[in-house]
Amino acid sequence: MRSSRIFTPGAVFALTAALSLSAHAADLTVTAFGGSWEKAYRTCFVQPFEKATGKSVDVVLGNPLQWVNQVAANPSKPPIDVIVSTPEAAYKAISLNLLDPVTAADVPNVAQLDPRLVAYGKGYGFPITFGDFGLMYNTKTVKNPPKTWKEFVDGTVAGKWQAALPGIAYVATPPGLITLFTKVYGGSSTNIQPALDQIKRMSASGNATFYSDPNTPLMSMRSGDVDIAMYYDGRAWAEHDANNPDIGFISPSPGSVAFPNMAQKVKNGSPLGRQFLNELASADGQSCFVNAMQYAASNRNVKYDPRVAPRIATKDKSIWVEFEQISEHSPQWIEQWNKQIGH
Amino acid sequence: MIALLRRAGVARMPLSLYNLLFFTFLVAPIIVVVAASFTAGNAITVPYHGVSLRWYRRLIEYRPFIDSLMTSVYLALSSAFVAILLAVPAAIALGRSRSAVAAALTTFLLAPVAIPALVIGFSLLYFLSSLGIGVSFVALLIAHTVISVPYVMRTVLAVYRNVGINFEEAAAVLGANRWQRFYFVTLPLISPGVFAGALFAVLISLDNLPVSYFFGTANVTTLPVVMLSYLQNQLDPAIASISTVQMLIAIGLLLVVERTYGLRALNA
Repeated sequence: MRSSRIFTPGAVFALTAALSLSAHAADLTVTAFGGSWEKAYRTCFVQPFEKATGKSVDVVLGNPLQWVNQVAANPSKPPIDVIVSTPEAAYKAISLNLLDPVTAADVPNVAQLDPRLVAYGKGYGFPITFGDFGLMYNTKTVKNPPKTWKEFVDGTVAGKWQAALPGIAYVATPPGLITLFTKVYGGSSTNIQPALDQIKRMSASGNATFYSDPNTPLMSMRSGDVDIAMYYDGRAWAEHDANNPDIGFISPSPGSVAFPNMAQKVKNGSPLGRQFLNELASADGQSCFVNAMQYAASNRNVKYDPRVAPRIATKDKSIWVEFEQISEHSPQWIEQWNKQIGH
Repeated sequence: MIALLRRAGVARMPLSLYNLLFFTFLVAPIIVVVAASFTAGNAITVPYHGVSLRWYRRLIEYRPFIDSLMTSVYLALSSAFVAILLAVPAAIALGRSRSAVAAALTTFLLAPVAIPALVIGFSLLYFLSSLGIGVSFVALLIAHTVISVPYVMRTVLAVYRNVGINFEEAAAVLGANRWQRFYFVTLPLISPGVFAGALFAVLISLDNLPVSYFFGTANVTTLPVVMLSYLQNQLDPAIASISTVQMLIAIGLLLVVERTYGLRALNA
């Protein structure tokens, strides 16, 4: 009968799905970004942890704000035990009181980390790695890359190169572009007009385009549409190694904004979370990870490969911004940007 | 002269040309993605660098792609089935009623189409969590059913309203009870609408990101969420291969519907 064609396969699928997907939960659930990041994370942290403890670890892929919302919706029985995320999401989680404090007393390897980076976690976690948001450029078309940010802006306006900047829809723009330019050109978190004026100059020159996802600058570099782009160092070097040997990277003076990955333990999550945080803070784990991803480590005892060492950011040369303060002002900044620039 | 042109079919040429250009505009991006999935190079570039299946092997090596694909397929079929169970009785109960309450309920059941999916996902996350249903397949199933019900409801309503009431009345006169009238008369007559709505629901669910975004767990994550996470951190032709596989599944579903029911019957 035709009606049975509707019901029979549907019932079978619904039942099969419910049964097959009610999988046994692991001992610990942690988060990770996808692709090569996840692969390095599993190899360098998850597998050694599982081997050392005999416990199983589930890795959730997705986005930091997704994870923070999932924990916020289930604070007494969180679906995640350890969050590794971006600074904005990390401070959001702190403000919502979703985390347990992290100290060297319960995570011994924290003592090996750079104390200035540990302080960045406000007592509720620590950066595992960080990278600079500097300038990725084509070494063939940009023979003399700009040594300062003002040189970059003036060079773009003068038409020395075609530049790519992050647009307001991109997550790195408030800290990595607007805050950076207020430090270079003057201004503050309540007065970003000096920064916007320079961005407007670049936009009006016709030599700057704006991107809203991290892959667009890579594609534009490959096609030759763009000669120089504001971008992350680790990703730029990964592109250099995999696809485009013409790529170079520079952090113009007075430095580039540092973007750390923050590791935090969720309140009411598994106590194993502290042991996993210890793995994330370990010199061996971080050495493996930073050499794969080409970012700088927070552990002071990390060993960098000779190929990676000259490429990574250094704490003293990077610009460290207050992400929580930026998050407070971002809505006004977005409104000002939309009114004056529009991209 | 005009009659001559008409006989020669020349008068149809502009329309045919328009259709060809429109079809090309729709299909060309899909062809580019499929072609990119077979590149031997490390990046998605045009022209392509050789032909290789390495990016299909990558799908098997990168476990989350296959796991999330299975989840997406199960979820799409399950949510479409549950949507049928909810929407068909609702459409029959409300379809021929002229009351204001029926109109309001119909609008309510169709409303998820008009609400941004991100808002639905965000709201359902907190609502279901407050009911004790944490992030899980059940929560995902509920969320996808919410967005699937309008598609099934809409097509079943349209078909049911076009079916004459005479058939049900004749069956009643001949002694059929309510269940017999529904199962032997009404359901076969509205089945084109049910299938069409279910097909839309499956395709919407397979492709959905904003609702699935909030419910992903280590064991239950849908393919669009994994693809987004992958794309944010790595751009290589593996994305083109998993997209091609996803398209093949959708085409496969259409073929199954064609074999079991016939796509033309869905337009009847």
